[in-house]
Amino acid sequence: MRASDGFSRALGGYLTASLIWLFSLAVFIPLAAEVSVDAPLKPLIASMFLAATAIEVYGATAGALEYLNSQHVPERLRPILLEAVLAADAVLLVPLLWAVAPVLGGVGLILALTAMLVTAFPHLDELAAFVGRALINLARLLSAQ
Amino acid sequence: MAANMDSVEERAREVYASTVRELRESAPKILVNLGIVILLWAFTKYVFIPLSAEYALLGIPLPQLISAIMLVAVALLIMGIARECLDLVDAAATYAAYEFGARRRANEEEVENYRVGLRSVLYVAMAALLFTLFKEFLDMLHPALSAVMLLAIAVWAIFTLVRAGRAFSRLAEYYAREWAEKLESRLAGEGGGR
Repeated sequence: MRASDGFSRALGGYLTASLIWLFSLAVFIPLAAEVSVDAPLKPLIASMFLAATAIEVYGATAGALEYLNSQHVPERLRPILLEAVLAADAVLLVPLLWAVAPVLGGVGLILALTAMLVTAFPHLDELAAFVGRALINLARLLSAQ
Repeated sequence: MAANMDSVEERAREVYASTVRELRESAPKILVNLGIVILLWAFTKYVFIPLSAEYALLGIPLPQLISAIMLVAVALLIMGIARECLDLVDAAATYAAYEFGARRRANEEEVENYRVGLRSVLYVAMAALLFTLFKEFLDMLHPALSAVMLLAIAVWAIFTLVRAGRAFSRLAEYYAREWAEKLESRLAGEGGGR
């Protein structure tokens, strides 16, 4: 299997997940909140969309990790891309968890931040260098304008 | 390859002509019927239901009866224009797909992916809009009705969105593979040059 397969699988999975995520947060969860019924409709709808999003996110993360573990990604970019994958997973899942139950959302957010910190610790040098370079480039760009 | 691109461009022109024809035939009917639906909805909500608020017929509150009658009337009207609407959405999605496809010289399979993706997203948006329109009257009949309807729409929407996502994913995969292969060959070229 080629490394580009993992990359394209990740891209496809994130695309599908974001489509479901967008429709759920922007359309269906507000609609569920408007329906006045005794049953907890909003968490029910949110959990249905959460399940669909989680399936897509799982496939996308697996593809992204497969790509990150391949020889095609430069060593210094790996920690940054890994952080980006974790951030994308958190952005897609935490708001839906929040809609199911705020406590679940809070726990999910704490877990995501912990995972991001734990994976960032061994690579603080690379991350600091990357952020520094990005800031220098930004300053150059601004001064050029 | 060149023949394939020409056929996509030729098909784009045909689809454009058929979309314009479809628009010319269906749009007036859809607009008139939509106008009637909106008038019915507005009159029921702001005139008949407030007027009948304190009345009942054979023990049934009149607002509920009026809601049911309005729902049947609107459902009949919507059914009348649904086919036209779906044809129009299909034509618009197909036209957009061929327009994108012809612009970046895509093959038939890619164009089909564009079409499936766009059509599915438009269907879900239409269903959500219709539900928003009907929700209050369903609520008036029985709150559980709108809840059940929303659950059914949500399940259908998830499957439809997954299908749309898969179609767009295939396109994204195509672009990603193209990009990754270009990058890999460039890296290999640089490695060989040294």
